[in-house]
Amino acid sequence: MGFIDDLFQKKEDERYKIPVEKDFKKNFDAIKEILTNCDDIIYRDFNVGQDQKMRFAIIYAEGLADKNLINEHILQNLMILSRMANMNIETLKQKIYEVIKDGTVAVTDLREIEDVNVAVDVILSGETILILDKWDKVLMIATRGWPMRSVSEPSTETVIRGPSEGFTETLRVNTALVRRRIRDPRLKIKQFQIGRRSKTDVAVLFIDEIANNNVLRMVKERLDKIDIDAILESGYVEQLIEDNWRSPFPQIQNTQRPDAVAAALYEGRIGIIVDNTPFALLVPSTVVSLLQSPEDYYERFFISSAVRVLRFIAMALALTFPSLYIATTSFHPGMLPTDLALYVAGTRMKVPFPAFIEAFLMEAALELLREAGIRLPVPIGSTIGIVGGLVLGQAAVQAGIVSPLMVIVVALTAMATYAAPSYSLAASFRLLRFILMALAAFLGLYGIIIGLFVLLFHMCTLKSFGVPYLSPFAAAEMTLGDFKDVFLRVPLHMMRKRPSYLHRSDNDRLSKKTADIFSWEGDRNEQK
Amino acid sequence: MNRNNDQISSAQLAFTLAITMIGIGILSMPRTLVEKVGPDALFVVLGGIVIVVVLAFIISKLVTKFPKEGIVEFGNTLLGKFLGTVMALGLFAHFIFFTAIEVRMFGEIIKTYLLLHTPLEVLMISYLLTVVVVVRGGIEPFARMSQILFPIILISSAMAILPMIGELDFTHFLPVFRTPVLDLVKALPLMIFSFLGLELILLFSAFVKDTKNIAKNVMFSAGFTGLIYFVTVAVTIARFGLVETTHMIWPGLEIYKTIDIPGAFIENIQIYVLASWILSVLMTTVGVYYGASLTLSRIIKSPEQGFLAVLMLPVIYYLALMPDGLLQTLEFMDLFSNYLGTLYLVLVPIVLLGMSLFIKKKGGSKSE
Repeated sequence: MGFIDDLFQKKEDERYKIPVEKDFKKNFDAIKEILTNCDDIIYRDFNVGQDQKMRFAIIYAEGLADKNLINEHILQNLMILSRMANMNIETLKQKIYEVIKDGTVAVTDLREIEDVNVAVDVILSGETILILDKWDKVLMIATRGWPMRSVSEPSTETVIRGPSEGFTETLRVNTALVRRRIRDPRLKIKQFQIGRRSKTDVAVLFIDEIANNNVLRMVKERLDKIDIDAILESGYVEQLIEDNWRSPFPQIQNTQRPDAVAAALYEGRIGIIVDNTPFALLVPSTVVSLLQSPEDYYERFFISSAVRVLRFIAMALALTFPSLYIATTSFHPGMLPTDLALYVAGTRMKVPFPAFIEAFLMEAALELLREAGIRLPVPIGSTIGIVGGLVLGQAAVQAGIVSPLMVIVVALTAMATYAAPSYSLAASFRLLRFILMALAAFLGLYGIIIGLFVLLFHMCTLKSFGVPYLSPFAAAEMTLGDFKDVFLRVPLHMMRKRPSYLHRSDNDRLSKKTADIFSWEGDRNEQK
Repeated sequence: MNRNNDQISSAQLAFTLAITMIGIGILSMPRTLVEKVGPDALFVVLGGIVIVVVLAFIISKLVTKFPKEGIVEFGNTLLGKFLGTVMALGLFAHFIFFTAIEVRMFGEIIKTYLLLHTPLEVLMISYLLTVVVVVRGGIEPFARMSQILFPIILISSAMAILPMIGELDFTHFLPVFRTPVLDLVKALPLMIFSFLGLELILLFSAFVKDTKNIAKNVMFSAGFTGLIYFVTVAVTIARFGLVETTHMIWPGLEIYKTIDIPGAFIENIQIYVLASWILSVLMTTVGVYYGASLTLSRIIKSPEQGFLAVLMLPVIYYLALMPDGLLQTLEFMDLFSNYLGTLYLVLVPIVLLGMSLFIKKKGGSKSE
């Protein structure tokens, strides 16, 4: 436990501290001065008590704080109900603050604050500050509540089988969605703020004893080093903590699905949730983890394994198919059976461009189509798809600008690309495809091999938070167990251990007792 | 989860050695063997395997005596500063020549089989640049790549052999032991030189975490490579017969031309095997090139191994362009393996091991 406490200990605020003073007016003015010209801040001062001698004030940001809550549970209690309090005047005078704190304000979360700057921060996060007369503290009352998008199905990573909840833009809702899936006190959620001006809340989620301490330390250290004015989306954090910025590959997985985050945490990985975005980050990530979909584990293993294999083939196609087409047509027609080679040559006869230009044009058109489709509203987007895909393709073939085979190649490649569960990985493959196409145009098959060789080398050097990107391939000590969840997804009862490349202390996933129920013949051996 | 880029396991060492040993030689090996000993080629292969496994044992014994040290360091302790440096410089030259020959041969083969109209220079430069990129990455990525690529190359080549099984005719080996024994022995060095690359243990052992497993893994690696050679020679001769084998420059590649899978989508298997062979030769060259840059950086005690590798590129390119044609390249290759190969694969390890045993014995009394 000491490790986590050490790692996440609060640092002293380096700003100049403005202490809260006993004088009501001074405190009120100090806050008002800092927040000058902020017209969305509401100041409300009022008198309290039977003789109306106590001067109180509440300050909150309109729109961020829950107005109903303030009205009904703070103002009403303080202004009206407090008069009915039947209390000894003497004790009341001595203990006025305790009474208010413990007996009057009917809100769940209260905190005393001694620094005006902190008070301002708190106001801007949506809490309400209550200033009491002649007290050297101000009271923070938790009133966060702004209009937010409700939990809905994520727009990416849709599954057929599995929960259709997705993250929203509110951090607290997101952590709750994860907590609902992990009712273990060892699920730790450590929260801090990043961004000098934006002060964005960032939560680090991990399961103690399963998560690797080295990775955890690396996450915390890298997050601590971020000194930026604003974090608008988790992409900012991703780019500022990733291992290698020059790599085309995403080294951090992002997901909109709480079940994906929970599953990753159970594997011993670490989740980073950033306020104001529905995309959570998962570290460390490997290329295999980026090719997995949560659904793989929900479906039965035959289907999931087959889909996995299909996905790996799709990735290979997405990366190399157009370049292979270029290499075969322009350098090695002998690779194909004679009939097919003749047919390919026949279709290409009227095409005025070399294969590379042809392929490049079509691929570029496809990328254009994709980009245009995303920007447009959904109904028009599908129109663009029809116009671009069908009409343009058909017309280009009829005009003899591209060969029909090329259209097939491009269409197949596009389909293969979108079979990737991770959009960012697919995007990097799309980019690398063009490089391989250029290499194929210059050096044929040899060029493709050179390209893939250098690519493999790059992936071998890549690490994500100390974990090799190509794990579990090519680990110094390979274990067969890690391959149960790569190309295939073996039945759950055979996956008794967590993946070993993360080196965590608690490694048992499934108990031997449960695993033993399943016999190799396929029946359950239950004694009754 | 090592952060330093300089630790591999002994299993990884075995992979890097195997993939380095299998390179150019395997393609011409059936021809050279049949030219010398006719149908008894397989016995020479077996004899070669035995000798090389013993050599592997000797070299690993030597390097396990000096854990975390490469040959440049323990050469200095054993031979003295001057002789050690001369030996290391020779090793450097050995690797440089080795790389140059690999590059040239690769260019020739690609020009013959894959890119008929592309100038040799373009092929060689693109090849060298690719290799340098990987060499600069250091030992860990290289070891990981061997680990990934070795099974891929092995499985794809083995799969390509399967359809041939029906057409193999093992009577080609039949008049057994008609060759004079002396000829068999004379052919042995030829076989041993197919295992060039093994001498890289002398350098790579410095990176190995579990030193005590080196001998086991390296011997296995040499033996397994020998098995691959054995299968290649057997299949090639059984497929072509003795006369035909001697008429081809690279019979190890030509056999894949003869494969015909009825009803398959792919007609020309050879090109796919060639693709996996390119990967194998790339890895060989990376290993040897890396050996050269590593030796140099150790001699001049500079940590800039990657930068030295870049500096060496023009030299290697120039050396690779020296032979006038394929035949002369083959002659150079013979010369090279006869002298430098013998020296560093056989003589140096044995002498050094002998000296280390000698010094160990005297060491007790001499440690003043």
